Amino acid sequence: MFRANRKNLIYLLVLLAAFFLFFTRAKSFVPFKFAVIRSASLPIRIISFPIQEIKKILYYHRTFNEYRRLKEEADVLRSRLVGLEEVIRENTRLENLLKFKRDLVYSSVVANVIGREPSHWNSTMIIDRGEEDGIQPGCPVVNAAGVVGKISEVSRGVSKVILMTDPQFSVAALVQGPRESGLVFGSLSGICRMRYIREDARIEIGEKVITSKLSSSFPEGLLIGEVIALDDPSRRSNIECVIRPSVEFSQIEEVLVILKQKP
Amino acid sequence: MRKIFLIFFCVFMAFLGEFFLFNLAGRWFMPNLLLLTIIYFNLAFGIRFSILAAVLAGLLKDGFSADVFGLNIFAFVVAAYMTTFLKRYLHYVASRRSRLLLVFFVITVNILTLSGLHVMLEKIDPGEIFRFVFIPETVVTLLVTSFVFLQLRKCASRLFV
Repeated sequence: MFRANRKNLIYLLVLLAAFFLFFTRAKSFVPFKFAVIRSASLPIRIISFPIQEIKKILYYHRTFNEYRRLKEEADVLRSRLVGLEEVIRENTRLENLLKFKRDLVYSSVVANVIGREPSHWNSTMIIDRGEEDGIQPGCPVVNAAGVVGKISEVSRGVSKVILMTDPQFSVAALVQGPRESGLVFGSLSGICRMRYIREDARIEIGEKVITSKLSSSFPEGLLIGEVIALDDPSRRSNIECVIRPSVEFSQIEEVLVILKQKP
Repeated sequence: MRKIFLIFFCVFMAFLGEFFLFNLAGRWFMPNLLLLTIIYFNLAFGIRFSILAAVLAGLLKDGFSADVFGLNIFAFVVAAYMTTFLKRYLHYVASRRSRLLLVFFVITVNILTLSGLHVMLEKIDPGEIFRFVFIPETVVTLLVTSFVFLQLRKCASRLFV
């Protein structure tokens, strides 16, 4: 009798301990989380290698088409650059004349993606750079296509990135054409939503969304994505946009972590 | 001791399996292998070993997650308890249909627990939970249930023969 009760008590204690762990929400568990990642990192790195190779084969045609498009784009841009160099020189001269300083240079770190967390609830990935490289929680993570996410937890040599499509993610943003500002949030569906836009804002489908200068962690002007739908404004007091991220998250291999702005 | 080793091994392999499928094919091809392992150990060895599997699975999930630590441990431990409760009414030995029914209800309980905890932490639309979590997870997990249970049974029988 006592033994059976003792067993039940132990089972109950396990449940209560798990409940307690969740509700304490202590930051002190972060090193423990990274210890779990470190202990499992070797097989995960081994698994990640064939995944990347298989993906390269699967996406061969898409990559080749992308390469051709980018090559054509690069040729056009190179021809435009000749004219622009003169404009840049003139701009610099005028800026110096006005003693105007702009924070356009950021120090950054290139990181390789180890893998994405297998979950329906979160969009998180692990990268192979950490505190040793100057990365801190909240640092913006980008790639050539635009905003990827931001750093959520950091250990010595590994960091976790919350992707833009995670429900915990938010960033101040601007619809590029009409200059309407709002907040971009992630969602479970893998796309983003832009909320808190003025009720009478005129936004068209296909317009680009970029980071706003109101954002405390992201530099201004980084591409987030494009508007693919507008939610019915009659149901709420302000407009809500559905945004398709510019980054293809399943194909990311390297990212750039922006450390801090240089004065 | 051999049972504990088996549980460690199977839980870790289930996690690696989930990691592989998710990174290769995305969320629509990722069954909840960890939950299936917990249910299997509950049916095969009883609640004690199921709780051990649940704690280990939760540790792995929480370690890789950016969420609050303990969220997955709690959800999996609840699932282990619910399996013990539900198997009394739903599960008949050697009945495939009853096994699938049990798995379906445990997945539902697991998703409801996680939904409750996530709604406390962030703003999530219940409709999205149904469309993007419940449907893919339930369908894919039920499709692979028989195969996973068979592999786990083979694994267990090799170790104990």
